[in-house]
Amino acid sequence: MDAEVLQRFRDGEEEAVKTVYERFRGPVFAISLSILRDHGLASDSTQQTFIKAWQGAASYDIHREFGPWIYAIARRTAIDIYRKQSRSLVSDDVDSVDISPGLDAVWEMFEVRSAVDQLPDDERQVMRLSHFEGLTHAQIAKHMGIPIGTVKSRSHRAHQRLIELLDHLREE
Amino acid sequence: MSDERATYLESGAGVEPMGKDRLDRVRGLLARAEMWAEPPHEVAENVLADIAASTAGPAPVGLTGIVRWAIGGIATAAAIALVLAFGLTGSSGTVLAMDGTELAAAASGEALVRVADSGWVIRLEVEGLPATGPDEYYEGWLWSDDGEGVSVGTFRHSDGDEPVTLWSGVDPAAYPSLWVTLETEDGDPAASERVVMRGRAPID
Repeated sequence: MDAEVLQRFRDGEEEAVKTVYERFRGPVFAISLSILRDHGLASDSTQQTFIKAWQGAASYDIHREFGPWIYAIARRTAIDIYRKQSRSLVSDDVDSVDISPGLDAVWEMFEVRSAVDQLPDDERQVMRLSHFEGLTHAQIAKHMGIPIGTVKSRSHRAHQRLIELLDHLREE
Repeated sequence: MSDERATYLESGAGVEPMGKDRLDRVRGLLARAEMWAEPPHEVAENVLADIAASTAGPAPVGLTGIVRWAIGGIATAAAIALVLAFGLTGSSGTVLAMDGTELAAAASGEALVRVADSGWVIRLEVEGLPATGPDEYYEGWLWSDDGEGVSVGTFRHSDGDEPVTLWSGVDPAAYPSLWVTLETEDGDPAASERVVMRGRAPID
């Protein structure tokens, strides 16, 4: 996310808001859904996250990464909604709220979803059919109406690209 | 090394690469619905509408009733005076003042109308509107000068409620009156006569 877009986002310029939303709607919605487990609540949380991000944009350090910043807003927003929905929760410390999955897993989901959303559409589709739908390469080829060799090459490219986007995994 | 890791991520097979545990977790994440779910289309529209409403700011005090739907490109002092005269604020949408009727005399507020990809978004912010009963709801209507009304959505209301987002598929320029009616859950789709708020936008 370049500095110019973020500056225009701060100013509430419609195109910049759309750009930021398009880039981060997936990971924000993914972690909202993982915390709240309800599409309606996750949609509300996603909406509130981007509004809060815009409202707080003046405090954002433009030299730092935008992803972790909006992630923190998204997580807190979802947990706040979760707490409102769960009247039995009494803690004010959001980090101690008993949510599932755990906070490390939520961050990991944000990162992986961010990376997946950066893949070209055709590669992302192959990856979804393979990992989420559980289809074999042959089944994907039939489903998409393309040669199996194309599926294999797209799949391999997609996974290599994902590894590069998640480069930090190399260190662990 | 990258190939080994990509192959393992792809199939879970092959030589065990460095960071295998994390790659296993990534594989697990890729099999989850959240990884592929998308928010509804209207979320983007609502974000833009909320930001437009926030940038529009409050309507000038004491100027209610007479408003306009849109004025663009205004920068001169004369134009600013025009904006004040008609109670219009903001450049990303039009703020329409809403007044309570005798049925809700304490009610006041404003509606921000802005065009979106799939119609017009009407963001209604009101205060002093009585809470709806258990079998009641409010309904927004746009009315043309020919007396044709189009519903723009229903909502319930209680003290402290957040702004309500309504949607219109018809151009507000042709339906310049915005009403809110109190409805009963009786299966009748027509507007009731219990009008609680009104706003009006004269057309040039």
